[in-house]
Amino acid sequence: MCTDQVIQLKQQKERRKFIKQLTIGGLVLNFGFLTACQETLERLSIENEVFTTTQNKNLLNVLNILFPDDGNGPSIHDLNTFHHILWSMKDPYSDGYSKSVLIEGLDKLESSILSSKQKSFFQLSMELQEEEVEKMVKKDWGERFCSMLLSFIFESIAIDEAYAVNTGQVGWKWLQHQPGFPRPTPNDLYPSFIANHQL
Amino acid sequence: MKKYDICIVGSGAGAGPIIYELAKAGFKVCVLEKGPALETSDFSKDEYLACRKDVYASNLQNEFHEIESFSKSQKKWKLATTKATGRTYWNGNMVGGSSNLMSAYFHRLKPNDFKLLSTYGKIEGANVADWPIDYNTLEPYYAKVEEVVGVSGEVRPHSTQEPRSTKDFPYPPLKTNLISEWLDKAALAEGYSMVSVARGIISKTTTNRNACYYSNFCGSYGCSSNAKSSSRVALIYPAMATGNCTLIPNAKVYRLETDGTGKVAKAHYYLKDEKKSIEADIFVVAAQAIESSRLLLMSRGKLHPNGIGNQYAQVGKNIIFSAGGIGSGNLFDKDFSKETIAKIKTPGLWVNRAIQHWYEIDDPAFNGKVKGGTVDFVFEHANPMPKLMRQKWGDNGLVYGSKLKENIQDYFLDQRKIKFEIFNDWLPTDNCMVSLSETEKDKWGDPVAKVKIGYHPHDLIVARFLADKAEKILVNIGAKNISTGISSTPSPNLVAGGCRFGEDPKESVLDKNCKVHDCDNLYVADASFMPTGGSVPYTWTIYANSFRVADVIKRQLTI
Ligand SMILES: Cc1cc2nc3c(=O)[nH]c(=O)nc-3n(C[C@H](O)[C@H](O)[C@H](O)COP(=O)(O)OP(=O)(O)OC[C@H]3O[C@@H](n4cnc5c(N)ncnc54)[C@H](O)[C@@H]3O)c2cc1C
Ligand code: SF4
Repeated sequence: MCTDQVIQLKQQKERRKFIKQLTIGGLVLNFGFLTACQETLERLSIENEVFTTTQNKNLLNVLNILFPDDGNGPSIHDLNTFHHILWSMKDPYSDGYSKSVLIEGLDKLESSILSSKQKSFFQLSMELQEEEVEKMVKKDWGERFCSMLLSFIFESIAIDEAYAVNTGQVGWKWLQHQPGFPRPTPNDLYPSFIANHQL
Repeated sequence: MKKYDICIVGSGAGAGPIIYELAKAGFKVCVLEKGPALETSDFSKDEYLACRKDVYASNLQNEFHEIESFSKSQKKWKLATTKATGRTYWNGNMVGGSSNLMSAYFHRLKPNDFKLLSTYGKIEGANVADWPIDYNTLEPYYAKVEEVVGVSGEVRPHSTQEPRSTKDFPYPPLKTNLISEWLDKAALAEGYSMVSVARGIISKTTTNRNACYYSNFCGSYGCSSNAKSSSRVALIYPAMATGNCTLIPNAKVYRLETDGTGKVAKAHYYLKDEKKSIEADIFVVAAQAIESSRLLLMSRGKLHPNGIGNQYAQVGKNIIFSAGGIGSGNLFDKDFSKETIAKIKTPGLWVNRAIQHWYEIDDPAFNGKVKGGTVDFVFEHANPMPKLMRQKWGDNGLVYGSKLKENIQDYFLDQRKIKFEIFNDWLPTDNCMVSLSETEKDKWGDPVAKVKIGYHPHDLIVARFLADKAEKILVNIGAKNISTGISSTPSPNLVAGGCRFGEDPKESVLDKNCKVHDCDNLYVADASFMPTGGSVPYTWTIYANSFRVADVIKRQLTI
């Protein structure tokens, strides 16, 4: 069995597990997850219900290349982007498109590095990781994947900290953004808004 | 099953005035609205909820549209569902409809808009028709909207000022940004006057509505002060207070059943997944243009084998959007003093200026006089996601890394973007219409609306002409990077036509009172009636016409 297939099978297993959890946990699982957002990123990068450990590490590294901690503005860590992505992957109302793009991206990234370098992406040196991302964004799947990640990064800058992103309004402060008022209250956040109003 | 005097399908701008007038006159009114009954306290400025997750519009997985557009590269018409593309044609599905979410730039039509064919003549390939009523017939109702629904503004002389029966607006104009003065001066330097734009937003507190508090997030968001003149706040709440109005939310009407005489006897609807029906003496459809046509086409009966109003295959024909495009320029900090740019960057204050000097174009560029349009100036919306998304792509594909962070920072901190929106007539053609999809069904198994979105090339020429005038103004006020995108892609939030009114049943669906020609107790009261749209957003006209139709219905019910 080639690596690709192993990863795919693993992925499918993960996805099945994910769907099952959604059905069992439903919205409750989601709320719990939002509260759990205060946990450290380090812990989450080791294991979670959505991605494998390798996927987590690769994802975090790609995010940090797309939006580096370079002293200008907040970092992925400050914005809690990683957590936002995990939370979004569990959106019970999503059509699954963003999840399929991310899974495809992580899958293809890992398999291409494994076959060319016999290592995982996250095990490469920083320079090599940057080179690989540069190559990746020139491919259709890579552009799709990184574009999707950028959208998640942007959400973690722009949306209300009530969603456990933009911690301490770090994104808004960076961009001197004045939010609209009233800001959302915990009861009216997505996705509970949908359930509360039977949309 | 209770019998009502009148049953109204939809609760947006086209429905509100009829609900209000009939309930106030003592008639028993029932409103069937497919969306939920959100209240003022349910709205916040949550960009994730409102824009990223689009929760105020119907879920595309359950209900969607089939769009037929012309592919220039493949030189053929192609079909795609909005479920697949993610580009929704829903605009706001809740009590009050999309009027809850509108930006509320309010313009009246002008007298010539009622007689486009006789004033400017035929345009090859376009189905232009005169209206069966004139401006004077609608004028008192425009004035009524100002008072009852709430419109703020000021009457300032300009070359295309439409006639008014009242001296001024009941609500004074909203506060404006320094840029409005610059625009006024820039226009005068070009030899004409800017229009001070009226808004469907109240600027003074009333007994049950607070004045606008300049929340900075208006279009696409619900209003938390009730200042925005939505159908829900301005008309449905007062109607409910009479005790004569029954509102049934989450009620999706799928068929109007006619009796042996050809009159509508019942409206059939899904209440969530349960099938129900309502009886009434008179029915009104105001489900927004596309869905109103769809409902009529789905309402087949013995005397209406092709759908109600469709004896001459006119239902769904001549759908129109608003033609035009969007332009912009940047006002960079470095080009102005600190104090000046601080004023320009003050959040919340409005621009409220428009060019209507070329509402009629008499220019050598055209062969004789032609209909022109409106250019509304607005600041870029304050919500940050679209501004961030704009930084994603550069000339060589995706931008990321430190470069991306620098670009984002520059965009947010070093400038403010002033935009203009062009509105000119979307000429009605045979290639822009609604029918029932042959293959696609919604979650209840009913055919979804198929919307063919062809346009007339003349629309783009007029829009380009207007863009040049607007770009000159932006140069004059010191903006940089000025550009315009003229587009043939329709904006689904500004849709009209599909059930034209007219004298001849062979060429129209409704008579001049918006009653369906072949059905004596059915009216269509949203923008479906409009044979041509004028060169402005439609909502003020929709409200005004619905008040006019309310008077007709009251007379019919009292005979
Ligand atoms: C973001 C945004 C900005 C806008 N800005 C402006 C502006 O600045 N100026 C302006 O003039 N206009 C503006 N508009 C447009 C304005 O909102 C519409 O012109 C107006 O609301 C249309 O009124 P309507 O009654 O036709 O439709 P709506 O107000 O949308 O109401 C239709 C209602 O019918 C319901 N419905 C549909 N099908 C069914 C069914 N089968 N059974 C029961 N109910 C049904 C819908 O759920 C909806 O609530 C804007 C719209 C949006 C979305
Ligand atoms: S307060 Fe004013 S700006 Fe805010 S939503 Fe209401 S009308 Fe619009």
